[in-house]
Amino acid sequence: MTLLAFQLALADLAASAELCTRVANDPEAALAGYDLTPVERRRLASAAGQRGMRVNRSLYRYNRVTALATVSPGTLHLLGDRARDVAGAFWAAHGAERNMRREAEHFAAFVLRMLDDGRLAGPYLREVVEFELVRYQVAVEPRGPALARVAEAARRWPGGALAPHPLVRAVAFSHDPEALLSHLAYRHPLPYDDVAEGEFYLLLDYRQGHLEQRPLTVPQGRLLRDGADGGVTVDSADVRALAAEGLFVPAGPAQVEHQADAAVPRLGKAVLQPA
Amino acid sequence: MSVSELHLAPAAERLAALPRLGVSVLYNPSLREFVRDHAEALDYLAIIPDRAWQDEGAAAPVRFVESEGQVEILSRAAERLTLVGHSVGLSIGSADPLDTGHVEQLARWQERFAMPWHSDHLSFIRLPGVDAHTELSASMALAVPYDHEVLEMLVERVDYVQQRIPVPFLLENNVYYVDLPEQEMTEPEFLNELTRRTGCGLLLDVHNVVVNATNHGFDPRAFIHALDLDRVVELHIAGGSELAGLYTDSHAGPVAETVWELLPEVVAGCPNLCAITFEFHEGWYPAMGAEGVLRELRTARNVWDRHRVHAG
Repeated sequence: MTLLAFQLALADLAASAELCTRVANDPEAALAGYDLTPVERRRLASAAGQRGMRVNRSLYRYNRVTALATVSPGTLHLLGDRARDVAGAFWAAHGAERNMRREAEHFAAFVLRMLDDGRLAGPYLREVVEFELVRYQVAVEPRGPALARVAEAARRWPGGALAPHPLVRAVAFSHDPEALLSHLAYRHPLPYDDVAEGEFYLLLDYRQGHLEQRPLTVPQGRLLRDGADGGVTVDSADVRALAAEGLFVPAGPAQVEHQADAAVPRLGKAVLQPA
Repeated sequence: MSVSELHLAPAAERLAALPRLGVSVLYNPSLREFVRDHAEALDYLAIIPDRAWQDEGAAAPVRFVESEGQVEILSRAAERLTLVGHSVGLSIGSADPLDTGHVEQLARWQERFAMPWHSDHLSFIRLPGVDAHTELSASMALAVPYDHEVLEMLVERVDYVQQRIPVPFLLENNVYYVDLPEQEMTEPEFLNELTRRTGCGLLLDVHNVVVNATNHGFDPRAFIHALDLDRVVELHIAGGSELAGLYTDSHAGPVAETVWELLPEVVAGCPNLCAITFEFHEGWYPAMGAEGVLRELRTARNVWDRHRVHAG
């Protein structure tokens, strides 16, 4: 047990300047929560005060911010000067996940929670946080098994309820996504006066193994969003049109169950509830 | 010697029987076109398998979600070049149980690409999470203490890896920025004991030695000569940069001058050396360009041609 405790403590030091200071000042008290041998305690006390621990902390921050910047570049851009504080608060609250998707999900939930309770505000943030998370989620969805589920459901339950194809998502925007995402792609500073407000939907489609995105009409977007929460039936021209494109597919019990039980949070109201 | 014969051979013979491949790069996404356009400049391609999949955790229905795009790129490269795996995710030094699922995934990749050997780092990065669905990361590879307790743990794990994957397994020497006092062995003593007891090989990262020697004030030559150099199968060469007053292994562009100075001696001293791999951070490719990468490869090849020990 003590080697494990030593490794946890060493990793904690690399993540926290504040812990390093406490350990350097009073190692007995600061390390009391770790099950350590006296030698391990002396090693950590020495490490906490070394210049090299500053390098470790820089590498820790660099590697964690790289993960966030990979998944959520627009979110970080919109946060601007606040990004450092928000990321710091997130890291203090959440250890680094090995799985980048889960790290991104936790970060998105964290930012949305800050928006909900008023600790954070800003135009476009909510929709961009959701969009960037969903864009990543759909790109790392296991494609082979998803396609196999769709094929099996189509074979066994061709006339049953429909559900959105597991490799597509409809993301809701309250601003014109085309203009907004273009500003973000070019890292334009706020404000974005030419971005229209309204109800918009963007389709993210990973069926072909690469990401395609295009605008949806409002009825189509609503159908795909609502359909993600449960099977829909073919009762309108819009559903038929989406089914003809393969965006709605036979749900089948396996797929409905998969969507309901998935450990992975998905787009929609149930997705980004505070953890 | 075939792979099945290699698996049964004594350790020294296994390393001596490996193919002398030559000089290449560690693949990163910036090299996609380079590998396509300059395959003739590469004698093999070192790859990081773990970057081609996402690990969803042991409880997931599909644990390793492979990137179709990455697999396609690597498969195409494998039609022209021998691939050598250099993974980053085994975390063999983590004090919690060895991730045998990760070993199985590495075994699948070794078989898929017929890699003549594979390697990982002598460090830990994985940390236990707060529940069964969480696996945390230290966010960087941290060195293990060179103690007998750690050695025993690693011997058992290296043996396991070598039983599951039928080609030689190499461990890479660490870079570390923090000195841990009261360690029971020096790093060369630890590495020598580990390779002697398990028969595994060494991936000697010459730049890591330079970084540690610079920051901790020892002679890199003395360090290298304290190692059992007949265990060295592959070398890594790289560049670094300053951070917070220390010299770091940032893979910042071209190979460090000190590495070039050491390289001829190292190459001449490693009788089982099979490969010299240039690694750099992908963010440096725009500055170096293809010509910059080719220049580093030419310099390394010159050392390889002039100083390597010829088998037999």
